[in-house]
Amino acid sequence: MSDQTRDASTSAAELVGRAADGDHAAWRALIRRYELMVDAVVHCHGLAGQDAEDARQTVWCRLAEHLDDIRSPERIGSWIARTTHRESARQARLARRARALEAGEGARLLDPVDHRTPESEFLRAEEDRGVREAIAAIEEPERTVLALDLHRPGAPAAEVADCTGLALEEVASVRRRARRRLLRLLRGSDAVDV
Amino acid sequence: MRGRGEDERADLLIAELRRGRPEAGPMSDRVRRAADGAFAARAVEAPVAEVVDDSLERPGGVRPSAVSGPRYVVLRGAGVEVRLEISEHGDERRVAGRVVPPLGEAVEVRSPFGAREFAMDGGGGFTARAVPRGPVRLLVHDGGGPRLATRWISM
Repeated sequence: MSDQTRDASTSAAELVGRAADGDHAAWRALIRRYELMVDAVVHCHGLAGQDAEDARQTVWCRLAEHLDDIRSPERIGSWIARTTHRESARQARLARRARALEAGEGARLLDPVDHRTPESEFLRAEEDRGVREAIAAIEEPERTVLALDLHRPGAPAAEVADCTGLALEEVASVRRRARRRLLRLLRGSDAVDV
Repeated sequence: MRGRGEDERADLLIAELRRGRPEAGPMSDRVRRAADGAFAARAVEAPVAEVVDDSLERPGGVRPSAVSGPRYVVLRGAGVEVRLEISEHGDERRVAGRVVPPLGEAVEVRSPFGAREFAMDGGGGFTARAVPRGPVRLLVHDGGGPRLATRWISM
């Protein structure tokens, strides 16, 4: 099974090399290979609509800029994952800033508390905030494993390994650890590893 | 036993969180065009200036009390500093900047979809209006090729 991982890594490195030489088909193949992971990470930071589009665009711009000085092309998946987390977190701050600006400008037009918000929507918003804060507190590779677990259920272990730099046989145990970590952060569980 | 109980609760939590959350999907045509635009324009024969300060990253940087003014970003590379003051106007940005020391004649503002040039004054100052939101990269020109390029930043 580990041969499968090695083959996947080799081909990622090949795509990086060919794209750096100007091969447009290789560039497109590189994007196809990682676009679902990028989307999963963008979603786990709570981005939607135009904010999500800006974050995705920025990730590919950063990759294009970075192509010529990639030191470990076989680990490009984990570079893209880290870059997507960083750009998504920054985009989320930009989005909060825009909302705060709008609220400031329209403060007199808005009710300070919207009493019409149903409890379920409030709970959902609280849950989303909890997940975002947990993702910010969790480090790689667990963070990206969780993003895929939440937004790309059923992703093959080889894909998770390719996107995180993990060996194929490590994926299941890292996923287990990442789920426990999320549970503790969200539910304040007092359970300990045994 | 306790660990297994925790694993079961963790699995239930994941199942619960997945409900109502979007599944990852392929990118839109616009993102694909942006990616291709950045790829086509990636070869820049100039040193790259990296972000060294961004008011967005400071603690409390997005609290209502802290966002009444513009966002400030400083980039540095090859001994040159690019200071930016970015203000939002709907989906467009106004970028007032200064290149220190002043080394060029114009600043090119590049998005994945196109580029525009803005003149630089003798003190290295420039103002770029109607800059689209999303990823942007600035190139400092002195008549010949670019002298400095900033990395891509989302505005």
